[in-house]
Amino acid sequence: MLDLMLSSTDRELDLIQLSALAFLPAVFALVLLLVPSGWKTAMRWTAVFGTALTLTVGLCTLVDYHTLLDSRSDRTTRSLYHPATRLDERADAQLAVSATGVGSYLSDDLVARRPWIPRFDVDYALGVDGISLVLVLLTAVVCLLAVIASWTIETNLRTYLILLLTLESGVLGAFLSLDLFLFYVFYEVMLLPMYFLIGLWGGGNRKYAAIKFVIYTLLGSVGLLAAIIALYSVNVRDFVPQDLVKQRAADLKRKDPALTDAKALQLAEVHTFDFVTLGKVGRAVMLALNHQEDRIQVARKKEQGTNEADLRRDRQGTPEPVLLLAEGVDREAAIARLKGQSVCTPTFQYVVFALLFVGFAVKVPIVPLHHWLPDAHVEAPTPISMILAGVLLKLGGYGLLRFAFPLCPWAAHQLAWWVGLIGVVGIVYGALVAMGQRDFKRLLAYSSVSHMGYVVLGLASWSGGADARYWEWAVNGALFQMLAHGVTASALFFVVGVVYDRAHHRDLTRFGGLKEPMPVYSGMSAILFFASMGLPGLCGFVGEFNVVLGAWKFNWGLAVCAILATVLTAAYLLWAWQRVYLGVNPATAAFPDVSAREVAVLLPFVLLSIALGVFPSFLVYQWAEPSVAGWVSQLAPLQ
Amino acid sequence: MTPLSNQAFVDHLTASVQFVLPEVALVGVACLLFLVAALRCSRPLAMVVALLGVVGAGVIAALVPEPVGRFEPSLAPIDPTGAASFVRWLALVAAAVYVLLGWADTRTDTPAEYHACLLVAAAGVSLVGRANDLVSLFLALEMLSIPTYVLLYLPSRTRAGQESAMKYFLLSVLSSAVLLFGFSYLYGLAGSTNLHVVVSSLAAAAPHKDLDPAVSPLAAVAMVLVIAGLGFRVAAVPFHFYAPDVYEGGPTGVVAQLAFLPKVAGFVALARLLGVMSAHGGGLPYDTAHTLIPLTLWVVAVVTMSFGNLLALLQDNLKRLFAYSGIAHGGYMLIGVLVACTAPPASADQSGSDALLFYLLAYGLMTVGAFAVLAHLSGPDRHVETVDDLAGLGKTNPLAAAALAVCLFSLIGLPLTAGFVGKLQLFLAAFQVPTDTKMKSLFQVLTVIAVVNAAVSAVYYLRILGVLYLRAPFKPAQPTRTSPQLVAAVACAAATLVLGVYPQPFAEQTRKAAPVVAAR
Repeated sequence: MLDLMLSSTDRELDLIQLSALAFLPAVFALVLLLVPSGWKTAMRWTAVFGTALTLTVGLCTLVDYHTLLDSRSDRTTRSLYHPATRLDERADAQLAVSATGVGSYLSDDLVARRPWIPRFDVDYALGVDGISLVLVLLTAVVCLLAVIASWTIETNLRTYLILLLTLESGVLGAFLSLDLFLFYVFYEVMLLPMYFLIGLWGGGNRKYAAIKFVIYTLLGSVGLLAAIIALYSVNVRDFVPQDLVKQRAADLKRKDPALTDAKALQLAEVHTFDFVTLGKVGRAVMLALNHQEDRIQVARKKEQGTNEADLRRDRQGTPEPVLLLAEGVDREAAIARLKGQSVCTPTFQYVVFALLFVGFAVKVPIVPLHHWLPDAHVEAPTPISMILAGVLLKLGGYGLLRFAFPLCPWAAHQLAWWVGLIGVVGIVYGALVAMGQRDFKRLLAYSSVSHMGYVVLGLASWSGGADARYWEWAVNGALFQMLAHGVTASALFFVVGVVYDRAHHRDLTRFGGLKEPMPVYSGMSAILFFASMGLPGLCGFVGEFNVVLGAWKFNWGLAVCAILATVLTAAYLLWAWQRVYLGVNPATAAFPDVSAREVAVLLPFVLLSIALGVFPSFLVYQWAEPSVAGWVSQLAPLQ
Repeated sequence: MTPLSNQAFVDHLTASVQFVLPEVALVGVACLLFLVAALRCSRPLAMVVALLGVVGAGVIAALVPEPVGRFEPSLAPIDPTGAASFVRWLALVAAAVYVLLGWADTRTDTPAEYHACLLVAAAGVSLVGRANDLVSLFLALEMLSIPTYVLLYLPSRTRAGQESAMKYFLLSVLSSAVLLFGFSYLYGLAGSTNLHVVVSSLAAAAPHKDLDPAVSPLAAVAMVLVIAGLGFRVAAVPFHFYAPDVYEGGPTGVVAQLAFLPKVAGFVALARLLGVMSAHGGGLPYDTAHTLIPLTLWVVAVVTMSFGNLLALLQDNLKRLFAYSGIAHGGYMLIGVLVACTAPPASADQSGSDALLFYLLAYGLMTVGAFAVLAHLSGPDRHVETVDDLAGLGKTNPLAAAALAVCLFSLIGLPLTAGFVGKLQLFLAAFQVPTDTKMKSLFQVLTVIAVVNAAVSAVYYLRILGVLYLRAPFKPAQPTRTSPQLVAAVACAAATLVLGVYPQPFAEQTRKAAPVVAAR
């Protein structure tokens, strides 16, 4: 069946599909250059069309991914999880194929890998799994709605839309890349459009906010770059297909003919930016540092019926093996080589984890690195605030989930309690500070800090062994929380934008009585407020509930704090709601209700927040959960 | 026995002419231009002749085969292998760009002299890349310096300009003297002026790795003097004092040369004297077995990049800012020299010297591109002196602003630009140095310092970017005119992007140009 799908014509299909997903917005940005300068409406529709098309490709990818999961599932369990559909398994398979030579790329696995700069082992590697797909779809939706929300932008419209579309391309590329270098490239590509979008179309203090945003983010990315350099220096020769090592040895021998074959093979080093391979190194290091190196085992040839479960049955009574080393590696030599490297030292692990954590913490943002966020939000125009809150903050959470934890699991485990504490501090601090705000946008900015704290807490709730399923819940919750916060925060920023367009200020104390003149608007924003508050049946509840559930097993003290903070959340949101919508206020009595365009932006958000709250498992968990299960199943048994 | 009585030496000396034909062509065209200058020579004519000279040299370099096989490293004064051809192409392309840039500076009555000096300087840089003898190396360096004095002086009608020319002249002469002093020690130690002989005899004289100091103290003194002499060329702290003043007072086109050509020459000469960037490596005389020279270079690199970046933060004058930024980038490049000459990699994966060559190329493109924009903008009716003079350029001159922005992105080191790939290579090379030498983990510390410096530098580049795009223009938009400088700027910016997106072919070239010298 699989072989039938691999006819030569569709060999490149998933490369094309994933590249299209990442680059369609950029292509439409180029198309915008061709639109004559007077045709503003045409420009807007081009941008709408581009983002809508991106969303369509994203949904197609979702269907493909679901089919992929389905093809491996025997439908006897509730979960679609199967080891072969995990991202790392698929990426490994691609790596094995590309190591043997060009020409026979698999294409039904939604992972594409081509050499980009072979001189530094940089690959153009894209791939998708449940974790990234959730955020890709969120990005596509938010960007589409943000373009519609940008209808009122008049100055430099073309530049604005081009920057917005470039930004979307950068975000999507970052979510899709499987290569640290490529990820870093996309990560930085987002930075400049955001700088200009805030700096050119922002409010009064826009230059300060823009430069603050860039400097904070750059400091974070510098940490990231240092960590990437450190990880690239790791010799991963025992974790990649051995054909690659033989190629490197042959290269060495060509350079220095005096070497013997054996010596060249011994000297050959392989370095990589591939985070799947680096993740294996991280796990092996964790086992080695925990004095469990006898569990590091060589992978066997994949045959029908032999998988980790069988191996476990074979070795009843011995410690549970972890198949990390590549097929055909001399186990003893490999472990000795690993222990001889600097990567296998606590210092290296701590430092790299800290660099990655700080790098992404700036984006999340985690207290005390959150300081840029309120300024950026307050000064940014409404659609940009939507993207900032809905999408860019998610990159921080995604980075922690995808890079910081899997690449340095040992340090992550050692520091899990502290990371969880930082998360809870963010939850409580964000909520408290939000309560003291008078500026509507500033309040929402701090509420973002508070909500993203749940993501951090969920990831940090490291429970191994039999309790691994609690951690799985927590991570699922963290992922869902990112999605839910993406929906509600973008929507609420648009809610502020709507009222700002009418009142031309954002001072909470001067609002009031909006319910009378704007009933539709008030109703919709009520649903969004309650969704953000975490009312059961709406999207905010699912994520927070799962996170707290998992965190309870990890450390009940942290969980209690997180639960109590929901009271604060309810307090500041309800208080804000009351100050804006209730009462009688002559200043707002003449405001017109929402226009059709504003409904077009708000309604999808409202529907999404209800649907995600009612059918979380049908809409998201059934295809996102297998990836999270795979993620946890790799890290949890290492303890 | 004098060298000239050695028939083999004389033969090789004579045969060396075939290895410098393009340089001979450049100097020939320069002589022609000097002659024409005595008559009346218009600006376009001088420019066209100079461009033809560069293209002619390029054609000779591309088409005339060099009998590399007959080259004997321990005898010939000219070495056509290793980095030689890479440096030659770098010099030729740079010369072509500078000829375009010179349009702004040759409004005065000396266009022919200007271009002639430019060609001689380019020939000098190219010769530095292939000098294989202390004498030819020194002559090549002087071939670069002396025309630069003239160039700085020619268009200067202001006091500041004359002051900067004089300052550069005096300090340059001083540094040449220091360099010669170092050379004399090297000659005394090795008994030969041949670079290959010097390096290999120094490397061979230090086999007692366990005896410290096994390397002769004289060799260390010689190298310190050489670092000081060449430190002036590359504007390394503490030999950088001239740079901001000279940049500020000098004509823009000449400053663009000053920012790049001496750096190429200085770094290549330094690398050659330290035993790398040659296809016939005689070993590394100053590797990490003895910490004196590596530590010196380490300290100079750290101080140079940190000092340059910190002072650049305080600048308002654009040329001073770029002077300090150039100093900082020189600090990054020193990492390449340091790694290449002190710590040969175990697996020949990252060697430092190819990273250095790549960074030189990237640095040249982005810095010259930025200066080209400045040259394009300043004219008789408009002076671009301070950062604020660029206000609103994004609206008034979108193309020039875009070119400058790309160059600035590259200087910051954002991905998809040449600057990022270059920095990454340098940092990777430094990070991968093994920690079991006497330098311990100092190389890793160096990487971290460099990365932090790269972040600090973003602040002042971003400030320019902010002024370009986020500020309202002072003056209404002028009718956009296309000038040769703008062509040069756009070409540099485009090349910066190409190098950033697809660095593979260039990385291969630099790798070929900088073969790894194996550890003994």
